[in-house]
Amino acid sequence: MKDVSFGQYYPVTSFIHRMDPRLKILFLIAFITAIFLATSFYGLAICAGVLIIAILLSRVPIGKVFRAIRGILFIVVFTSVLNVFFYRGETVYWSWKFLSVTREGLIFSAFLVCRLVLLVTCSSMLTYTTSPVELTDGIESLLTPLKWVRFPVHELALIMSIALRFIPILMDETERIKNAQKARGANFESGGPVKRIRAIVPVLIPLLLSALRRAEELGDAMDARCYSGGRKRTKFKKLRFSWRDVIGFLAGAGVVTGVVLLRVYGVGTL
Amino acid sequence: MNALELKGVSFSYEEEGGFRIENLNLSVAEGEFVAVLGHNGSGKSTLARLCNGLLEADAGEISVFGVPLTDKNLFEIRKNVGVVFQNPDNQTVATYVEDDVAFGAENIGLPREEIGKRIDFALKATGIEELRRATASRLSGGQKQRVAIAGVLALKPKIVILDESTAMLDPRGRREIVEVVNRLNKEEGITVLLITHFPEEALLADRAIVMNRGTVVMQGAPKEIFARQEELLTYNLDIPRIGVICNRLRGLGMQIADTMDEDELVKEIVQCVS
Amino acid sequence: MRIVAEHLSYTYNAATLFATTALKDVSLTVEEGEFFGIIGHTGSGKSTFVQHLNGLIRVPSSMKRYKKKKSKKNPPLPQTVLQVGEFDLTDKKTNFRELRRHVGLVFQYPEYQLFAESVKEDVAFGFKNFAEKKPTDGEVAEAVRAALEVVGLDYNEVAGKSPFELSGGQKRRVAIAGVIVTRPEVLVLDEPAAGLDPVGKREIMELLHKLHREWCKTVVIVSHDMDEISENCTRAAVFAEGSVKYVLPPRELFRKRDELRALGLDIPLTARLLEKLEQAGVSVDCDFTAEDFIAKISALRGDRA
Repeated sequence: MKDVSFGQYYPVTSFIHRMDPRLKILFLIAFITAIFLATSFYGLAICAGVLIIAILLSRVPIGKVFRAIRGILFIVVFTSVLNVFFYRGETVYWSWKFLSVTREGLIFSAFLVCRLVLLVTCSSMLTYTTSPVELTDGIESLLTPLKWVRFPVHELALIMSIALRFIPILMDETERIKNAQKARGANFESGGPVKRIRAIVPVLIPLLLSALRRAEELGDAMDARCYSGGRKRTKFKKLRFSWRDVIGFLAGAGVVTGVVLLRVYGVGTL
Repeated sequence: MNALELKGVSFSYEEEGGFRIENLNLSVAEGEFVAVLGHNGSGKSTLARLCNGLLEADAGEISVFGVPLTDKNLFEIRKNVGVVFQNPDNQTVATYVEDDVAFGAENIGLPREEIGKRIDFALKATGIEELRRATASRLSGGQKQRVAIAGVLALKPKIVILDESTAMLDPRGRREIVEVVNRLNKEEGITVLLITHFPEEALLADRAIVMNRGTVVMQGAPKEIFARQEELLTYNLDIPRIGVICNRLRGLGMQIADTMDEDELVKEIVQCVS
Repeated sequence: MRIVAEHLSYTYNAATLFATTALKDVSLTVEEGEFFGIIGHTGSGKSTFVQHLNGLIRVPSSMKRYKKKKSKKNPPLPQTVLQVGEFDLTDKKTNFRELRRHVGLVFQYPEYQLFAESVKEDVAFGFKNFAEKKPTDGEVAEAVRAALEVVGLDYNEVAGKSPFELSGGQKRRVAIAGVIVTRPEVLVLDEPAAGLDPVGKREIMELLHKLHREWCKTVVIVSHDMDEISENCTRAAVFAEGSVKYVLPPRELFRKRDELRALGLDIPLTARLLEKLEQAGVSVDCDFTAEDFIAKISALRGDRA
């Protein structure tokens, strides 16, 4: 029943989904750069604006997007509370010993929260709109220049590809082994920490053995199909840029440029 | 010149001691469909791995279309000798069928266009064109093994060895695979070595060989082999179920000719009772 | 211990995008002492059903519809029943661990669950998990010895060995021993002969019959192999698309050739031969085992001689 695609991919067709994964990865990098270059709320607003447009274009339900934020809620609250109470500012509203709530602190805290939210949302958008296989292809393609410095690009991509292929299988197998041991009275739910760790052994050992066996059999199958590493190997799949990616590129460039300009001209700097 | 020739081949696993394969001689002609029968431990799986160089023989010579197999020409040999293994899950490298079938063709450095043609050929020959963009892990056992066969066909081998590729499948899956393999042999002219412990699967072959204790003990047309049930039992094998019934009926005095075909048996019975 | 299932339904990932209904209103009864067969394709619901029998899959509490006010808008839903012996599996408070002592479940390729350093330890795992208070070494050794012997292994020979040193067939026997060590009254096996060669298959089925005679009153096997079912089972249930189509003894079940074929299932060799004989004008009644087929056919000749 592990039909759910590993990695939160939300499978619909949309403008964003159809974009080249390489462009999306580069866009994310540009976006993160912009977020950290921004020195004012205006800068973050530019980022947010573009991101919202992207979310709308992606046909991913807003609920899912919020779920990503919910995941880091604790860190967000924690960070903002820390900053509110410890940021040294001029206009003090309240203070007690070494804690103080200042206007500057509140503003800075809000700024940080916005940054975090934007960061997490954009990263999630990447995984929501790009399947794990696409991501692997994208990363492989982007890293290709590293081949010239003997970096094992192909091998890395193959490792990721095989991992993707086998993760659902191993998850299923873990479930099966757990059930088999439960049928023999194994108890995974109750007991103190020591007991619980011991309880994992009857699942872990068969799983490890199974993984090793699979690896060996897969190795034989790969050898049988003339696998000999990355040298002299061609590639069938080809990623192609399209007009959507031009737009994505312009959007990314625009965001970075906008933020930099705002920063350089000191607009609304905090 | 034979497609596959083994002369005096011996092999043993270090941990075991004793020989897994001992002084084995086997010739397979081009275009032949040979079934290799044997109980678990007779050495038949080891045979498959020796023929494509996954294992190195301790003694003897293996040649593929006249070219002796050495540790220097494994790449070339494997282009011509494809092996499909037992576990349908552990042979695919990629998530999608099309990408996995491409793997072999990519490995031998073919240009993109040629790879596309090979994929088309392989998917067609195994009857899974509609599964091109399917996720490999969600397929049935029979479909997964067909993907594995397609993956091997992308290299356009002249010989395909199936190492107990039906052992983990349900009856429907087994039938699928035997059908595909038979078609590959009859329509594409591929030399097939079907290693199996199901006697029924040997019925479609041109020749059946029986292995026991690492060597060939019986050889001949499947019908001939199955006529020697007592001997097969000593090798821990049996004849197809229908043959068992046939023999028992004859044993009870019914005049029934030896047959492995359901329709023929029925005819014989009808004749006998009317 | 009787197994009674009535109106059993189950949906995986209910209330999500990926909901799949595996069981639709399944009802069947397995009497104590039967050697019961379950037939069906992958996805027919048979594995889901079987995992209900020892509580690995629980009946969702929404299935229990008692105490709902009966009115025109709420017609009473048929009550879901899942009873194994005295255990009511629809009751959340049932002691499921205790249930598992009495219902042993052997999964496919059970040899892949072995994990312990020695055969003795692996088989003892099940025994120790279910013991109420810590058993003595002597009690453990006795239980393990008994289990290994009944599956045809020599305790003195294998107990100290690592399970991974054994042959495939032996490993499977050890795995089965590990499940029956608690002497369950019901033993359920999912494809017990999967992956075995014909000799191995025969040996496993012989072992199961032995267990049926000596250790576990009721045996349930899930199988794809119609010949296996016709040779071994007292009754068989056919699952298709989440529901039970037939529950019949092989003698009656395999007469339904067209119905079974329509479900995409095979019929045993004897059934195919009988069908062709009928078409040729020779009508024979038999219970579809090879023995009976041979006997009835040769008797025919005797009649006409």
